[in-house]
Amino acid sequence: MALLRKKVRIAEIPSGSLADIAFLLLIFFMVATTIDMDKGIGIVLPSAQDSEIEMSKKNITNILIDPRGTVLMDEKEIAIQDIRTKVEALQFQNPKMVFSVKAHPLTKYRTYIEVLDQLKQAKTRVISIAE
Amino acid sequence: MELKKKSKLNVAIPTASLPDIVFMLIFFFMVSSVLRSHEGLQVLMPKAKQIEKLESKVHVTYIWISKEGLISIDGRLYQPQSVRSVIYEKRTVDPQLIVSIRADELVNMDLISTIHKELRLADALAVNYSTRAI
Repeated sequence: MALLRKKVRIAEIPSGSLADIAFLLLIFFMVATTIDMDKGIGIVLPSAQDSEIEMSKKNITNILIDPRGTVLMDEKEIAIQDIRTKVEALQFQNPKMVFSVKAHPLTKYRTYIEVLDQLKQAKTRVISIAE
Repeated sequence: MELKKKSKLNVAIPTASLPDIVFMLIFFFMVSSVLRSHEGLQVLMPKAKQIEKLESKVHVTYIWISKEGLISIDGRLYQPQSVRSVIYEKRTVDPQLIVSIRADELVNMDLISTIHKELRLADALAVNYSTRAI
């Protein structure tokens, strides 16, 4: 009688692709997490100890904002979306130009940000915030 | 002449521990990523085009200003004139402090000017007006 040979069964879960699965998970989480980036308009305030700097008037452009949202630039009314081109032209004429933004206390913050945005778009070097 | 038997080298990088390494990576990223929950007020921030990213989140303090005129820093309400002392303390701890103003678009400029003055007195001069992208 022939002895039955015991079969050795090798049962193994294939683990070669486990790394791929883990990578997929990693990539999924990396893509799915929304990192809410803080974005905004950056400015640097003058320090409180700074004494007022004397500047010649021809180097300053005053931008006034009234409560209704009307913008005056050098005593002339200007539409907010036109500020950029005007500022770019002024900067081209006089690279030392400083833009001073002055808002009425009842002006809405939105208008102020719109004006600052225009100045930033025109790559203004110095923005002064008058109070 | 006896032929040399070519030795068969079984060259394989052991990949059994690769999943472990990747899982460790996952855990590392999960633990180290800071999910900042915004504790603040209900605000609708103004829109702007030319916006820049804040470089670091670590050095940022948020001042929330709602359209009702409430001011909140770190989840607590403050009067405008006490912003100075709060920010000054933070500024002493972290000299690289950036103040991010998250104000509603309907806030009046007099409140913003008051905050500006307070920030100047607290010597926190780097300011970022938080906006939404258009």
